[in-house]
Amino acid sequence: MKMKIFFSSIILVAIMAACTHPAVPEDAKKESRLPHIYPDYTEVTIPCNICPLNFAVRENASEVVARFTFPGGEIAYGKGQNVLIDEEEWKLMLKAAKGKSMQVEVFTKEGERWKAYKPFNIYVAKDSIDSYISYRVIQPSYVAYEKLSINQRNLTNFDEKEIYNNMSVSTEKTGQCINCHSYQNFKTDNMLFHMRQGYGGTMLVVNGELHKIDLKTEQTLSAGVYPAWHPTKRLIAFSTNSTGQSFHTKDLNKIEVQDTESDLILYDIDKNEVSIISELEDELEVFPTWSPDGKKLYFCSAHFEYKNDSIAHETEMIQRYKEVKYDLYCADFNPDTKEFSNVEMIYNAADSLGQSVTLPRISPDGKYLLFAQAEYGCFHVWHADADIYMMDLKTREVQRLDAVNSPRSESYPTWSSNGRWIMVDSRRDDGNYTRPLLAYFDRQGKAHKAFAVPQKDPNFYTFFLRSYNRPEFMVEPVGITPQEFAKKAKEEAVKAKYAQR
Amino acid sequence: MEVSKEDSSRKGSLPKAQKESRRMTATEQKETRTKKERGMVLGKNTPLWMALATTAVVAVVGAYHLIVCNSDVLFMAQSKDFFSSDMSHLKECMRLPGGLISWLATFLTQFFYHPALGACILMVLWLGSMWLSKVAFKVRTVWMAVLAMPAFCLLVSTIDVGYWIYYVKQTGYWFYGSVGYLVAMALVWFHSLFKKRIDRVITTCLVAITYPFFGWYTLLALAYISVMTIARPAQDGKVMMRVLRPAFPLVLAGVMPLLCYQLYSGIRLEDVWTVGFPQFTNDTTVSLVPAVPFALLAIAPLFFPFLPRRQELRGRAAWSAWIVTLAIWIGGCVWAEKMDFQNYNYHAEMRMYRDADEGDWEKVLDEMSEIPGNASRQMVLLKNVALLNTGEMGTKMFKYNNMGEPPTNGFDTLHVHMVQTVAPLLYYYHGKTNFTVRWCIENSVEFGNDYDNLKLLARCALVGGEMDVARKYLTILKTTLFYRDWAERLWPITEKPELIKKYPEFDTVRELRDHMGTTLDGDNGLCEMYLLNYFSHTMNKESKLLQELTLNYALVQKDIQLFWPRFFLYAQLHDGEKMPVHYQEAAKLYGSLEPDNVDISRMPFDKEVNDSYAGFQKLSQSLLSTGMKTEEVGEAIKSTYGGTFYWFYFFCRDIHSY
Repeated sequence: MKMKIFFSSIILVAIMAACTHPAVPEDAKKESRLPHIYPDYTEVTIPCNICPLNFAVRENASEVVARFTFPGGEIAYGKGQNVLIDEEEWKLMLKAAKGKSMQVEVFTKEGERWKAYKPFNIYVAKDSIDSYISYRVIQPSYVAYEKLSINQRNLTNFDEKEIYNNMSVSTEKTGQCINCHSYQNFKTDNMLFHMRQGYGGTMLVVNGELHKIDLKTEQTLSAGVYPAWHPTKRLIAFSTNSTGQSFHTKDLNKIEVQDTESDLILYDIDKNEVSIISELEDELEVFPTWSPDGKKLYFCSAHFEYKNDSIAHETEMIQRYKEVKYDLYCADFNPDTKEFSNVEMIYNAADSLGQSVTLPRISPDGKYLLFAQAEYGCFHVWHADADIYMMDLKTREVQRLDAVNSPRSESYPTWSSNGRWIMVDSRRDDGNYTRPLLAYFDRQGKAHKAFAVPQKDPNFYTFFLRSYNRPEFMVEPVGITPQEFAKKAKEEAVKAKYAQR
Repeated sequence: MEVSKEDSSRKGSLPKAQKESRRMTATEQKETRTKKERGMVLGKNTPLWMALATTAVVAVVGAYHLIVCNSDVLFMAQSKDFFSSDMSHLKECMRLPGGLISWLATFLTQFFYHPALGACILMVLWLGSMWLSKVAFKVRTVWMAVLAMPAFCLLVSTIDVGYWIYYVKQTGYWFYGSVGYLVAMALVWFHSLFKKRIDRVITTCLVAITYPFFGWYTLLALAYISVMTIARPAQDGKVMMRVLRPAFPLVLAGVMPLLCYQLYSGIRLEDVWTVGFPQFTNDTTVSLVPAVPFALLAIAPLFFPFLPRRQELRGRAAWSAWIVTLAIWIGGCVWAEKMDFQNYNYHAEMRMYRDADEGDWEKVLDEMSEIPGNASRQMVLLKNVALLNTGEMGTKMFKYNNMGEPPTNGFDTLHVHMVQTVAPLLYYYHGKTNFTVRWCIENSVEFGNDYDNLKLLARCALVGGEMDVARKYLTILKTTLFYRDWAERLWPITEKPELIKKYPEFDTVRELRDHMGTTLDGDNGLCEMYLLNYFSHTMNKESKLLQELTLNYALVQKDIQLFWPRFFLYAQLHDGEKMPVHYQEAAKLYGSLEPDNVDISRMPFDKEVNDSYAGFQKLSQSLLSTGMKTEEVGEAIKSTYGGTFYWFYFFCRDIHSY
């Protein structure tokens, strides 16, 4: 071990000698507060394999210097108002600080004087994070959807590639919108995403082979929308939705996305069959997710009775949009018989709390369930009051994860494959553009402060005018190229059969 | 006059017998010339003068059409484009083949902020590419007019787009063709610098690998290189080589996009050969007319290598040079004049938009009063916004032309939607900032980011108190060349929100927005109908401004039931003030039409209103009794009563919003 540290230090010193590093100011005036840095990486816990946490210092300064002190050494960075860390040095710093922390001191030059701000720590967890995440890159969701892609990002460096780009297939009236994507057990040889309109269909990768399926049957409401791969079987649970969009004239939430109807279906990949899981009248079932053992299906459902026969359901839904509140349910599932039973409400958010629960996701160890909760509705990405909550599935106690929440919308929570990292979509920066945030989740079940997925240019998020939707962890990159997806997308979809349950 | 090295070397290598035979032929030819072609001989400097004159013609015609006729279009063009010095913009451009041209084009388009400056840059590019093509194709100076044909194509492509200006999807469209053509000429010139076969193979390959940067124009350059090889075949006589040499660049042009397709995830396979060639299509229309100049631009240089290369032009040849030159001058001028989209409303809309955006309401109204024919609906709406801001809705609303000429290109069936033209600005000035945000974002999804959208998004964020997102938009605008000052002027509000009160430009919007309720609805893509319905059905006691707007939109709706409560509320809120003439006119009319509804007998109408209404009734009834049609009566009394509400009520009909 000592030898390892010795050699690491030698390599580090060698690299440091090769790079230029600014001098740390000697006579800086001390400030008692933390510096304003963007993204906010103060006191965060980070994976031991993440890319450099480059940041911008948002103080009134002409120059900045940040000194990173870690076990075995210190390095200073600073370029204009940015702190850009060398990737190779960062890896060695992470290695040295693994399971410990590094201290960051920020110095700013204002006029001719230097200021030294209160130092902050970056804790380096022993736990690594899945190397890849994927997300949909889209303008804040409105009606138009032409420029739209699903991208994958390597978290250990800054590489980002498109998995599929909508423009590679068609545009204008023959264009299509990409809906949610999903992976079986964080791997990409079994994955899917759905497209609607134009060359619509579900792009399904099974054992690395690409298929295009039309999941809409005469008996079901729509094709599959929100998907969940069964962890062990070749089965996928979907919601089917009749979705509409309407616009607030003044409210800063700006948009409501509502389902006038929604049900749950199960797709059997081997049989190419769709069957209905739940289509209760007056219930809007949505957001299915499996327990890690595949023996329970969790989902959300809102009880909503249409009262006015003289107007269209869409109109009534718009008028009563605040009454739509989702509870959390669980159903037993027998993977052998594919039968569902014992549907149970496990979290009564609507009646008891006047709240609405969406997007449940269970930790890989099956102990915890994350979800997004807000006052009403199903599309919390546009609800400023939406926060991430966590249920202990053993005690069914629910707590708000204050460490990952902000006064603005948080939604789309998800777990890394080792259960030590949480990713959420947050609009904390400006209330309009969603950014993916990571947070450490320790073995005691405590979530730590969330931080933005690092970018090479720390000001990237400021200039980027698109949102990141539905971020998902992956342990490997998607093997199928965008061109292959595009080619398949143009083919006729194979029609799924309906099977009576 | 120069003789190309290629020609002299070719002559030098001729066998002796062949030389003699050629000498004889030359003698015969000389004799023939003395007999038949004693006419004009182009002087030594004449070709140079012709070339300079051609340059001048292009410059003058270009300046006339761009600066004199289309300054408003150029300004709008830059406002619908976007350039940022941030690297992410370059990366975004490079997502498609030809990305470097897009990036350069967006950089240059921003100079249209000062239309004359942008126009000059554009013309410099044209003239530069003319002279570069002369060198690249080794064309005699006397044929400079032929080389000017692409410049005329580029000029026409700038002035013939009409309402496609709101629908063009090509990033940096306005300079894309000009930069691209210049690049293509530079690539051909670069290739022409090398003489050896192996060098030419290498340079052809080098040209081909510029495809990711120059896209379509790389392919054009390869086509031109191929044609040059055909026009000036090597003298080694091998048939196979004569085929292979021109075929090689064409094969590269075919293969390179296919190879590069794997690099691009945002392009269709079938588009890899044409990316960079602008397409004028939307959901309902495919327009070929605006694409014609680009097709001609691509085709014209294919003939350059075949232009006569004789050093001295005499007689018929000299005449031909003059005729071709004059024909291209005249043809170019006529073509540009014919294709220049000089629809009055099209230009006036752009001027009004700019004035409204800058809050210069008097200019908006001046523009409206100068319209020779019928205004378009968006002009009428901008006029209403101007009157709202000047406080003259009640006195001038119907004194302007309120008809609605639909915006059309004439040369195609493009259906213009207001949500893609002026709706974001209109919503903003009506306090409907959420709808502005929506359409700014919808349009940026379809047509890319632009300065107009960013400005409106920033203003909406400031008015709505969303300071963080306002900072975001203003930060982006602060990196631009011409909107930096605009952004910096508003920046203090993001730090001290209460400062917004010191910016009068926000007063109207803030008052309307603050007093508006919040509901959940949608406009179904019809801005005018939405605004009319929303405001005519709103009642508000707190804001005089909002209340007056609702009253006016009730008038536009011609709905008596909506009018009266808003009229009485107006009277209540403006107790002791003089009732504006249009409201009196409406009360007089509605009271007369439905006397049982409201008794107007004790209302203190102005004498002018009483007299005017009586005169209107009398004259219109008498004309109708003569058998005239309603429309004819309307026209007949328009000069006298066209500025009254009753004339609007009876004769302003069949208005179609869009």
